[in-house]
Amino acid sequence: MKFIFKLAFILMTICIWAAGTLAWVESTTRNKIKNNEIQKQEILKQIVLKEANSFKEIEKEIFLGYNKIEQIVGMVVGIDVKGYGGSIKMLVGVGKDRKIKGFEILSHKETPGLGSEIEKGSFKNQFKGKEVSKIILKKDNPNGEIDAISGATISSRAVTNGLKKALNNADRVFKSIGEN
Amino acid sequence: MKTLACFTNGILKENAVLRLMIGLCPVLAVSSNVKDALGMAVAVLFVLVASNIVISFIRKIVPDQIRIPIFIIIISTFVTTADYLMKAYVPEIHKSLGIFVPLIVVNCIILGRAEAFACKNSVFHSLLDGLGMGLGFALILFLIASVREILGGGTFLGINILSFNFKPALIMKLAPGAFITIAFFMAILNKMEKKV
Repeated sequence: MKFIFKLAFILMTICIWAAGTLAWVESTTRNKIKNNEIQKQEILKQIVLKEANSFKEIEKEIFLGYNKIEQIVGMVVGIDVKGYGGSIKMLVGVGKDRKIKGFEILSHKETPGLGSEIEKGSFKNQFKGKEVSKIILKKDNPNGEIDAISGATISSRAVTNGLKKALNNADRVFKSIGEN
Repeated sequence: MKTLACFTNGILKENAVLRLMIGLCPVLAVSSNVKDALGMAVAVLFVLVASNIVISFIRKIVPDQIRIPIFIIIISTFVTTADYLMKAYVPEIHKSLGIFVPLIVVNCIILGRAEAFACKNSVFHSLLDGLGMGLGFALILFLIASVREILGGGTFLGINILSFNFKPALIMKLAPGAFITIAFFMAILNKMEKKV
């Protein structure tokens, strides 16, 4: 009987050591990892809105894109949606014409091989140049123009909804600054 | 075992990949280019040395019945540490390796050396064994990745080094190419040590 307690105690001690070490490592690297994400975001903002030269944050996660002569060329909207395995973070470039200029998936927890295909060009390119009324899965609405990924409907729908949300947000902000 | 032998053992004579033939899964998966291979090699070396040291250090107080769970906890702690460090300091290699960094936990080399060596030898010898095995793994991973990247894409570390007339052999980028390359190196090593 006493032996069981000895085993349990040793296991517990090792686990406490493991927990402590991991907590220390996480806190030590937390800032660097966060800075990496911010840097990556800067690069991605440029990718989803190529025409822009500089960005200005106008609202939380919403950036106005300006070209070299300080004209507004579009907007980059950061959006967070609930996917199949967790939250999907995206960065969406919206033109003044309220159409998708481009978007990138920042992070996701979708199933490798299935939901993870949302990162593939073949899925993403469907959205380019489309406006909000067309951004819906074909299987959800006959007017929709988006093909879901086979075996990953929920992931596909999440991304589609996220882009719709981004376009609506962009439209709201555009209107609020007088760009109708 | 004599001190120097502990170290050199893992590099060629008992090379994990070519002789012991363990830890092959990550070798196949990340050896398609040199950059990823080096990233993986460093991670495995770190985890191997760290786990060997810690496991050897506590070997006298670990009861036999629970040694495997304890080894796994220790190994996964170091793998997670390596994962965080890579995410912070080499984010693009980390993204490229993806799921294969956490999979280092089940890399047979690490648990294998823990069982076969670290829990029965002193901390210093275990450190040497970890270094030797890790370097041996790194060496073979680097060689295989070099062959696969050069023949499969004409590049080395991403830089084009062969002329534009060179048509890459796609098979080298895929799994069969990895198997074939491993087999060639195994044959070379056998010939070198006159076992054939």
